[in-house]
Amino acid sequence: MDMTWDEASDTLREWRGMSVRDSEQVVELGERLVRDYSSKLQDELWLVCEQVFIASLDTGRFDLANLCLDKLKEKFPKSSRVMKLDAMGMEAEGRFDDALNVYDELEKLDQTDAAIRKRKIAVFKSQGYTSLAIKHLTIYLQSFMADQEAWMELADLYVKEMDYKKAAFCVEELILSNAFNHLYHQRYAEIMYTIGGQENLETARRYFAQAVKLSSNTNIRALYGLMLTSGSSTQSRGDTKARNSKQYANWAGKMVLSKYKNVWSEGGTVDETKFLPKITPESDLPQLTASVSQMLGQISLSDASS
Amino acid sequence: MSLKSIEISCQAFTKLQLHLAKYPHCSVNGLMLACQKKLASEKIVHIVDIIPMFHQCLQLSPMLEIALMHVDSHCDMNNLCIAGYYEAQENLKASTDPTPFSIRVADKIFANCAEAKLVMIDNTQVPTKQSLVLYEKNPDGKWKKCKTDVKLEENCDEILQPLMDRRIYRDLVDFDNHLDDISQHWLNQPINKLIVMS
Repeated sequence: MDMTWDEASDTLREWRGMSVRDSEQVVELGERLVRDYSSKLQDELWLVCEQVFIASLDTGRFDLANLCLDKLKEKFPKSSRVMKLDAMGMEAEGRFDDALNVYDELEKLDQTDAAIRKRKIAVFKSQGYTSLAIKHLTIYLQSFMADQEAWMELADLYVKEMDYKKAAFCVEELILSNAFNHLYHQRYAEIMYTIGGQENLETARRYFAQAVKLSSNTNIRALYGLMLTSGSSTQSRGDTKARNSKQYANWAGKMVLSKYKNVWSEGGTVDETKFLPKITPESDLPQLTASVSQMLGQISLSDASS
Repeated sequence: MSLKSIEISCQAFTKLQLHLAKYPHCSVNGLMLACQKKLASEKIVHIVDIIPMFHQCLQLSPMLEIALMHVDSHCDMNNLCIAGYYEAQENLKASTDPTPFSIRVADKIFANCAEAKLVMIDNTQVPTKQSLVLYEKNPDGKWKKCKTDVKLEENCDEILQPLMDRRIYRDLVDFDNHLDDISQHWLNQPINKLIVMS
């Protein structure tokens, strides 16, 4: 770890802004800051303490967690934000009833505190009580209906329970407030595809197409989805709509193929001199493109039979 | 009920544990590939590799179908077959009973491979061999725990531990990672090489 203390502090600030959950790295960078550079951080120390505290809970570093919590308790003795962190510590230790008691107390102090209500839902989720988590999250959203993170969480919970129609409803709410976010359109399309049926496949196709458009053709999942849905919706129909569908499928497939090939083009970003542990070896490329071609072939075949 | 033995190679076991280590806070799933020849001739299920698949929204079908098509194609070219599916749940103390979704996927795999196994992960036993709870399909259509013993290739633990210490799991690529950045491949050849060299 070669970063200077202020580089580390900058990185942690960036991660706070983006809500990154990379707890191992946060602990690696933050421990040094909290132990050795607390005077240099000045007021930012408290935000770093909070961030490192949560990351320590994630990685089982209870020693570091206690260190951060002690510093925070000393500085902010009566803070409900610190009490919430204390309760999160109890959650991490599996003391869910104690944590819930603290949250109940905090809720009495401030009924409008959304974070506390969400922590209670998190406790239910941690214990595996998914239905209870869903019930309370639904009640929460009746009051805090602009909370997009909560709608996404509810959608995820419903998908986990395989209650796809309700998951679709949640993503619809997200699309209403963020019509230009291609990820929501793609997620909606995936859910509709999973529900199945001719009408839903057609809906899925339209939303995958929208996701492709909004992402300027970069959303690979949407491109694949467009290939899948366009291909399957052409069964035994010789009319214009079916021909168009097949064209969309072919176009999407060709986009995917060209992207795979571009990974290795002269203008590409692969630098052979650097050790890049994850990069696709060139030898694996033909198989990837072959299977995409195979998928395209299957789409053409199904149409040819009609 | 099958009494044929089940072997899991070091590469498969190690990559599976690395996948679990990379996403300890998510449910994950993946496919298990077996050697086609051994299955056909000696009736031994020898899992030689695993393909880590997803760590978000496991229960949606489109990307799962795409992944299956890709892996099928890979298997055809390499004399392998999809012989298993593993799924690990988010919660530490989650039940190791097969989830409804895992049964759906396993049924689909069973349609192409009669020796297909469904593996649920016991999170409390990770990263030991006991973390793998195997199920097989009974004649009555239900998935029941395997009676046969599972053999791990020798030295699996000795190979896994250094990789975990070096945090190699951060470099593992699952299908979700591939869809986010297609320059990364779900075959994980660099990690395969590391395992072989260990």
